[in-house]
Amino acid sequence: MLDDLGNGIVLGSIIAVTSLGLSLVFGVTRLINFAHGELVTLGAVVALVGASSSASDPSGLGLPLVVAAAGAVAAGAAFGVTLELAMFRPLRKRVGGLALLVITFGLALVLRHLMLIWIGPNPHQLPLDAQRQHTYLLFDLTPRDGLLVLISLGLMVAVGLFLLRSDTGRSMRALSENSELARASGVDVDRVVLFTWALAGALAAAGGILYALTSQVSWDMGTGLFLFMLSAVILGGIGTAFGAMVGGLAIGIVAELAAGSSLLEGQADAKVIVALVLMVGALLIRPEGLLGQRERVS
Amino acid sequence: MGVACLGAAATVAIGCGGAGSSDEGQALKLGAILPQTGDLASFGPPTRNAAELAVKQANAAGGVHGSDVSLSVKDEGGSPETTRAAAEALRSDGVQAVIGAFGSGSSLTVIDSLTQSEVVMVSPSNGGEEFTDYPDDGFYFRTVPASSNEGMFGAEEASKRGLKTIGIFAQKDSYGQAYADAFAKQFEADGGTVTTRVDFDPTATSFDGEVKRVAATDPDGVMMVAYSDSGGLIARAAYESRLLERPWIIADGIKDPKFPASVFPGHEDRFQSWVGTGAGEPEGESNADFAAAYEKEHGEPPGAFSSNTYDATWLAVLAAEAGDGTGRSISEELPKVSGGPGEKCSAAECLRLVRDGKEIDYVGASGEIDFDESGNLTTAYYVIWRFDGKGGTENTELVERDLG
Repeated sequence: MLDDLGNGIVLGSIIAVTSLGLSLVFGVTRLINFAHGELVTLGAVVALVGASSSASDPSGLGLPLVVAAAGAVAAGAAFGVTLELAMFRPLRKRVGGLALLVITFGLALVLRHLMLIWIGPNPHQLPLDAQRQHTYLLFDLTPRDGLLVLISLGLMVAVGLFLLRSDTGRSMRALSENSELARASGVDVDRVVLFTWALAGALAAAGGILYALTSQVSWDMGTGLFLFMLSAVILGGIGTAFGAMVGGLAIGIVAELAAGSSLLEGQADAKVIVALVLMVGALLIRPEGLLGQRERVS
Repeated sequence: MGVACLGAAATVAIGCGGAGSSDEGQALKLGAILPQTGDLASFGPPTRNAAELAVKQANAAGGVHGSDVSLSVKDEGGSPETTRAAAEALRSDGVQAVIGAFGSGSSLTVIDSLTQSEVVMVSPSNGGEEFTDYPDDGFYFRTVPASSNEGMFGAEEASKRGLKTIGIFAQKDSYGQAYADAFAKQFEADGGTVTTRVDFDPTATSFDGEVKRVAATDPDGVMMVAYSDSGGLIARAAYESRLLERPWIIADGIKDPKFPASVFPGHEDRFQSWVGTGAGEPEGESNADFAAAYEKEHGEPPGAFSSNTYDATWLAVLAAEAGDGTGRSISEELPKVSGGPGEKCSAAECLRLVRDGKEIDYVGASGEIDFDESGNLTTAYYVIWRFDGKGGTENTELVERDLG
């Protein structure tokens, strides 16, 4: 059981980081971006191409992984900004929320297949050797997994502090809680939304790289993770980024514990089932999520 | 052709329909469902090349019923949807026979729709147990033995190497379960113990928990039946848990020469302890001729399942020529041309004999290839193989078995 808990913390950290961006975009623009999983994939793919040596992959740049990863995060931010400026900003003025949602579905399909064309159907490894497990604080993890958890924690703390302390962060939270009031009190909505997309893209890319460190890079890796991300956001509370962090960790831990238990051992998709059950349970029992606040509908 | 055709039709019951048909039968439209994308994509080129080679040779020797054989290869893909789409496309194209599918799971999704439309399936690689007596009305054949036999063979190898306890990783599909069930049964019958068995979902992206579970039982060795994607993830997790160093018996779904480098680039020697079992092919003239022709045509030696695909394609051609070329006729002729009382021959030589109306016994590149009425082989060849640590695989031993 300790093993599953350890794996759960690793998975939960990844889900927390990747779902942060999803939650932030929803909070500020009220859009659930169904292409968020593909932003995660994009980050991992860019890091892969940057770090692969040209011996194993003709288009590889052979950069050190840290450099490639930094580049991927920057690319993720840039891509988020591009999506907002080129797609969502102009469309938001002309079509309603439901249409935008459907557009993100389409965007997801297009991005997924672009990834397929780019890196092919087979999974790839980041150019890192496998490591041995050691015991850290009761858990058997590889040094890389341990580093991953620390980095995720660092990112969450950084984003949390940013949201609480900085002006832009406070504006983001204000827009999230009550957009009319926020607008009325002078928040530059366009600028804040643009920044949110940049942050979401960067976080998704970072999450993708972290995910690739534990597993592999494949064209549909983000798609599989999306259900976990959505469940985390809903469980934690729509509209609160802190909720996504808590929700992500919770889902990761519970999913691994349940999948490892004798009840669900060997079941295909056991982890996804658990995540979805948690999401539905949250909606039924406490729709505002663990950290959310009840909204007045009228 | 038109007037003579009508005249012939008046006196003979065979119609003159279809492109380029003659009085004796239809031209052969062959389809193939082989993996271009998905988990098994690495097996795509060696099988596709072999099928194309057989068709090219057949056409050079005059084709079937006076016309060229056409071959349409569709992607089996990594999902049932893709396979079904491939089968549907071929069916509406009017093919009489399909070489494929490659994966047992894939074949199961389309066997009913194809065989019920009287399209013959000849798979070069399906090992699943279901196919042994599947109600396919005689329309399904395979040029490899069932994996269960291979599983028994694997268990014998495990016992031979002194392994008393073993942990099992078995893919949760027709192929994996057939192999693992037979392995476990034989291993335990020979006095061994299976400490844990993990039946895993091939689409999963992480196997840390499963591997730790097996490692915790401290087995002498491990048996794994998996395709490359899962196999790679399991291998990495096994390295982390220090399970990889023990002897591993593996099935041939992972017999891709690029596998070691894709999992541990620069450390391919980590697979030294892996012992592979798989379908084999006997040395012989037929095999040597095929290998030479393949290398000449494609610039590299044949790959895994190439010879089986070559034989599957050639047999379909010969069965089409022997009868009137319809799906039903092909299904009836296949057992006869594969192992009848006639003259032993290979490839184009057989085609000439069949055209002359003689009975033949096809000798394939992958073995004798004699089908029984259920479309199963009666003799099987197995190999012990390994990753040679230099980017290739090598067969270290060949065994021939009569399948009762």
